[in-house]
Amino acid sequence: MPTKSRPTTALVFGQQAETLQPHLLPPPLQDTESLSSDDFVLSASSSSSAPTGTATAAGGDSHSKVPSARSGLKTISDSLNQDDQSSESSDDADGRLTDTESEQVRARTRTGTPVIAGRTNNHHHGTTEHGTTTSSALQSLREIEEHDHEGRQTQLQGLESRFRTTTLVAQDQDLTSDGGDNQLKVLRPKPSSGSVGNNSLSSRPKSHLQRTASMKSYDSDDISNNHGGYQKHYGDEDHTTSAWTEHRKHFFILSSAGKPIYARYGDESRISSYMGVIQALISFFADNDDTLRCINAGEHRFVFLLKAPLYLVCVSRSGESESQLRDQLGYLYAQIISVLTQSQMTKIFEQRNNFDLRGLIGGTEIFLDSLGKLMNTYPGFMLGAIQCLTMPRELRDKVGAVLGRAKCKPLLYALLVTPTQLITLLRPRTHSMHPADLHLIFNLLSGSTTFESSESWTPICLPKFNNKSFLHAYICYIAKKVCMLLISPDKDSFFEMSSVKQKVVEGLEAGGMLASLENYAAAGTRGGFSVGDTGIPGLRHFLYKSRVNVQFTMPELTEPYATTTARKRLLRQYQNMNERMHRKTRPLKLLFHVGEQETLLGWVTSGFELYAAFGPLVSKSAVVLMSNKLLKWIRKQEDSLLILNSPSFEKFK
Amino acid sequence: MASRKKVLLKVIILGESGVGKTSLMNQYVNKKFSNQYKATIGADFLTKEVLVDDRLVTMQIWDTAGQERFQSLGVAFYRGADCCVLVYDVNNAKSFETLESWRDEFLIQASPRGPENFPFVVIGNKIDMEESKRMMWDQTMTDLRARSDLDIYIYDGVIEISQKRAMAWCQSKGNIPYFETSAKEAINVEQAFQTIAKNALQQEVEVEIDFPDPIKIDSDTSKDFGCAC
Repeated sequence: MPTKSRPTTALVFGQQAETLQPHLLPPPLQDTESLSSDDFVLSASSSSSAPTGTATAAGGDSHSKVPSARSGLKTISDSLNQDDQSSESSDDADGRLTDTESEQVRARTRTGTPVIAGRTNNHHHGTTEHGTTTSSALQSLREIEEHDHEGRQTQLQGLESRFRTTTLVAQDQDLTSDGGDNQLKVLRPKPSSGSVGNNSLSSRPKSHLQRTASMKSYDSDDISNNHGGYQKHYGDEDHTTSAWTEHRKHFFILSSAGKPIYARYGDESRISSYMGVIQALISFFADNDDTLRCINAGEHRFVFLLKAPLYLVCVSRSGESESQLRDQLGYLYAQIISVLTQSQMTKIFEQRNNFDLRGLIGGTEIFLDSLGKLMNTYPGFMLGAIQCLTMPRELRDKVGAVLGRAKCKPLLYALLVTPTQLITLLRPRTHSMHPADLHLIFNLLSGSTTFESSESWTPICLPKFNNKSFLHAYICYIAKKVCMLLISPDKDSFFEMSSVKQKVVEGLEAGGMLASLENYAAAGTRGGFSVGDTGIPGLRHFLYKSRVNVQFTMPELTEPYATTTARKRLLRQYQNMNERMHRKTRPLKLLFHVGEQETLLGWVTSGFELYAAFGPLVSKSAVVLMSNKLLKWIRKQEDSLLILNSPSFEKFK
Repeated sequence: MASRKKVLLKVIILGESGVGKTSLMNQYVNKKFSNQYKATIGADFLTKEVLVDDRLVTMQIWDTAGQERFQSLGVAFYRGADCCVLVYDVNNAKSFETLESWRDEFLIQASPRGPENFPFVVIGNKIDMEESKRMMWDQTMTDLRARSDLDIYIYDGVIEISQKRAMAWCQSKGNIPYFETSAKEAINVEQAFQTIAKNALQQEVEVEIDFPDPIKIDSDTSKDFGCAC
């Protein structure tokens, strides 16, 4: 391998700039980040300069292919004064930039005022058919719970059945007609040690009882099928098949002993030789107290994230940057932590560094798969921000008030989401929720359809909140595409959560809100609003991130971005822009990019980030004009596009 | 369930350069043998699925370079091994004598839990030594035989490291299973690796999993990420 090692200052970019902003998503790998200056990169090709066609019109230092128009759009590339934008402004465009910034500051102060929207009469106690079904099923569930409780005494703790699943079909046939909710399902962690004092492993008998019990529950519903009969896509491939090498982006997760844990494509045990090679490479550098971060070889980029006892590696020719790929590895790592907790995983590998982790994360590979997919389509990961469902603020506030009033003691967070968009979130005043944790929740919901048909109760670790322990999530769809999540630190609070849901559903129905929520959610799944709504001809699509709120919004992806390929391509374009603008060595505030198929503008200020796509033949001055117009439109719509004041429970006391 | 997935075993092969580590692995995995000697650079990796006591296991075989100059793979390389195979050449006394240091080196670097019980397997390879070579060895060894301090003797015209001596050593190290093989003629290779897999499986003991303590929520544990949600 023609390799050349040299300090990475030129190749490590991007995220460091972000870590300065505490409200942004910090890459979940700071401990390794700090090593960067000592690290080396194996590099077969030199680091690439700005993509072709990119015009960075900075003083003298530019690859200007587009003649600098007199519009005076200026790219400020001084890396040190990122916030000192106004001092640089001397011409028209910059003057307007400052204008809009102050406008934005005003918008921010506006959001500070708490809004308690018109109260609705939502404590109406009409028992709907829907409600009855659930409650009758609930009662049966309670019986099962009691029965279970006895069983628990005799059952020994077994790690292979971290989830125990009970399924129940409501007996009342008359009520099963209203679809979906007749099935109740409880995912519950096994009781922690204690009921039976025998904890030692070697002496732990594998009782026949336990075996059959868990076998049975595994076969009894679809979640458990995920555990056992998980059919991996591309599972038949391995390194000998050409299809395997054709994939553009591979993810590998292995233990620091070199044992395979997960491969995005192919059977991880059949490609375990590659895992060995990866471990040998890492070990070679580790022997000199060095850390392998990235290898660039031709069009392939190998990115390493070392989170002992796990190693995560991405091999990609997708064109994404090193830091973007490392962020994605960080999300995969977080997904594994959300299943195991950091403390549990560390403890396991301290006990046995030859541990085969696949047994423990078994059944959750689908969520690693879906995360891989989601990161290719959903810009929230790149932006470190979450998307909110577009809906009128009054409705959002009303819905939030219903949630707020349903608060019970063990309830920590209450969320309403369409699988990947936030409707509203209620939280304690002292605890906000990190976008990275929300992304895990979005992935959990979009990764499996199993939650759509039942009430579920599952342990989940939200690493940014607390990576040492589990929270417990009550998950239930209260309408089509409208999912309620109630998160509690108490593992025995399923029934309390279930009754909170009941209260909320009644409240929403009474106020007639459930139907409109469902409509907005349906519209939101398509995209929420269209680019035509902005009234700006020539604008094809945009991403707008409010850095203050850590949220973003974007219009529906319509022609010419209707196909999956086109969407992916557009996201890659945004990623390139994002990478270039946040590059550590020379971050940019403005970037005008003329591509083959579209013209793009990137614009980063301390308050927002805007990436907008226009037709390929639009002039620079027109782009500036339209972008300012777009910003004005966003400001006007901001309170329905974003959640400007997330309510806390304390407000409703 | 833990056993639903095939267990994966990490097996490390160690020994002097030229004793036939790669040949053994190739014979076992690919059923191939080549007389041509190619030094392993760094390490080679092969994967093989085997059935052990009705259990399908994946063996991840880590073949290492014998040469000193390639032994820079680092401490982490040996970490988490389930079995270590020590290979020597029955026709080469020196390769036997270094087994001790290979074993010690491994135990230091891999630092397994309970080193005294860690599964090793010793393989004496090249029991097929060809006739001409034998003759040559024969002569040398006849000369050497005069020296009483060497524990080498002639056995059926083939000079070997005394099987007795090798077995005695294995016994002194906690009854390490011992095999004499020929990678070339595929003698005993299958049996040796079967034992390797079987003993490695013993390392696959379940770990103790406690459910972590629940989170206590109070305002002291305040988490504010600065975002509005």
